Amino acid sequence: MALPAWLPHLVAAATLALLPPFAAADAVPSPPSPDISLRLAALGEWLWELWELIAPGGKLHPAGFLEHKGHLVVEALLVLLIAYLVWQPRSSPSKKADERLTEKEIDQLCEEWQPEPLCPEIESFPEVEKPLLATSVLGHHIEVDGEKLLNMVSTDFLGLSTSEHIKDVCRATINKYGVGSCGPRGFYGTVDVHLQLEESISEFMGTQETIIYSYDMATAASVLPAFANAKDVIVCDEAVHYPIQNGCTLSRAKVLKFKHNDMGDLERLLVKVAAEDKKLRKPLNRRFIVVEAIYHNTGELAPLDAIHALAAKHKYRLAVDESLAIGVLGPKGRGACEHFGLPPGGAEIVFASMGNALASAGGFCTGAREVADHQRLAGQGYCFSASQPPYLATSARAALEAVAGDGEGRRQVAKGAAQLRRELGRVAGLEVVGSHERDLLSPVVFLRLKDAPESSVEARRRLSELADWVRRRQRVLITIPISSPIEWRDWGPAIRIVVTARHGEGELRGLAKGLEEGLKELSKKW
Amino acid sequence: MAVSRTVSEARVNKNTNWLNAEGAWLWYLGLIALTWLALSSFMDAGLAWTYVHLFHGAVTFYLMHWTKGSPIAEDQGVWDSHTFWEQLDDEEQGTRNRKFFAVVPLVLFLLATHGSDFRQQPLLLNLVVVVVLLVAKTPAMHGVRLFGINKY
Repeated sequence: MALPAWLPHLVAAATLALLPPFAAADAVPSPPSPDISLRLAALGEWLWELWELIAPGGKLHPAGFLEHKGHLVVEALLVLLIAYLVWQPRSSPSKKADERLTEKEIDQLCEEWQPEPLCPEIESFPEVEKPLLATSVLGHHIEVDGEKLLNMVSTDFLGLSTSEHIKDVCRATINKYGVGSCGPRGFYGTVDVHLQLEESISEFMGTQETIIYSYDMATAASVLPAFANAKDVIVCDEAVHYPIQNGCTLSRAKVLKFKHNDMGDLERLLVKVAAEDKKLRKPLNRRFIVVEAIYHNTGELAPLDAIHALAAKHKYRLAVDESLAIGVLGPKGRGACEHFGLPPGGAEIVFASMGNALASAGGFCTGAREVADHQRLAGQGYCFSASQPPYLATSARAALEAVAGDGEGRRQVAKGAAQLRRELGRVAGLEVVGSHERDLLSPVVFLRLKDAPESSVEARRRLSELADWVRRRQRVLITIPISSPIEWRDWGPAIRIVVTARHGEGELRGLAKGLEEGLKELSKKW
Repeated sequence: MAVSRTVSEARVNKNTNWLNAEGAWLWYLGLIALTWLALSSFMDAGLAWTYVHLFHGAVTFYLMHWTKGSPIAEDQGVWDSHTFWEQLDDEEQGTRNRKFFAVVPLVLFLLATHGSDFRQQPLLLNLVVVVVLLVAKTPAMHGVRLFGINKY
């Protein structure tokens, strides 16, 4: 087969274009610019010749090939390719062939089967003290086992639960509306008093709109899932109480916990999340920081000024549980956000229980109009629970008026809390949880033994002995809260003391002295 | 009595399981046919197949082999790194859907090259498009990102 005529010409042009300049010429060095233009011209010529070959009319153009029915070959090949694709077998990552069990195998399996217990064996039951039976209303004093004791367990911070005015309001409401509201908010359960209460709370807190929940523990569990979903991130303090833990879990968001009140750890987490997202270039999602104003588990205040600064810097939404701080902290009693001087709307979502200072039942969530409005359909506890009984709504409203006007009560609580914490701090052998300046304002005081024994069962036993001693000798009721195994963490046994506006200086001093004496007496035994 | 146990055939990825609905394939072919009809209203009908093929190639490449993830929030981002083709049929290869979508560009290529005079249209471009589409659909390319393009 003779070489095509165009081949040597093509090769010569390519050689001239691609060989280095010195090889072809003499050793006389020539100026660079004409040389380069010569090479470029050769390259251009080579490309042009190539194009002429494959362009329409040229020797290598498919038209020539197809003039001779070459396209039928191509099409036949394609049809074969299609047939091959269609007859491919299925293959999947995990696929078992059909298994058929023989009768013998079935009988054998049935014989071998052992039923598993419905619940695992419980090795040891947690030791819980015999519960005390209260036979009177929880007021300033409480009757337990026939004895009248000073009540330091109720979180009725301003003493409104026994207010005669509020009781009158309740009676009037029951006379007008009856007791129950007979339905969820969306289905004939909304009474005008609910709307009035929502307006009152908005006015009190200085926000645009409020939404009411009938059960305070369901408030956090409804608010968080209403705003966070499966692709979002929630950063919360590890010490949040069970309703918030439940809300975080139910929201299906990614939950990251930072060490209790550790701003360094919080910042580290926020930076870590930002770095991860930048690396993986994930689409933007919602991020939340969830904290409590006063922690139910430790009685400490969250440093909301620092948290707000971090949230603003990293662009997170801040959700604060003001349950224990409403009516207690802040110049107007609006809670820890006011106390720390956060700007209005600094915490986008504020929710609280009305069962503490407001001496009612249920909870609320307040904020911008969109925040509350969204929960009308997205708040599970709002849509699918019966609404608050009207008399609790009116009593909460009356309590709000009392709180708004009672600056003295708040001051009394703050004073009492600071006094008790200082005096207890001086007792050797007792450790008051919360060592910051800001914690002096918290009226919920947790006490632990300084030289706590290794076993928490033993620690709990000793603390309960101390509490019993104080109850018998000082006639003061204090308790040790129980924690449930479903919570994220057990904070260990501690005595919880609640200071209210009704406790006088003398009573608090008496309690501190009593604890000191009791500890001294009992530690001789231990 | 023999007990027959088979793996569940239910497809739960809402992003892709609509292709198993009745008439989904027919709808797809109908779209292609309608596009061809629209184009051939103002150009040569044979040449219109070329444009249908190229347009179909561009659109399906973007939708099936470029965009990743799924708009379904409940899957919690588990498909965020998979293209539509990789999500199809729970990553099972050689299913009917995959065969159908592999055959369609080939048939369009056949129609495009045969439907018009070979001299008049960019044969090379058609070939490149169909080769790219077919390579993208091969099981060997499952999860492969060439040169790290479109990895995140």
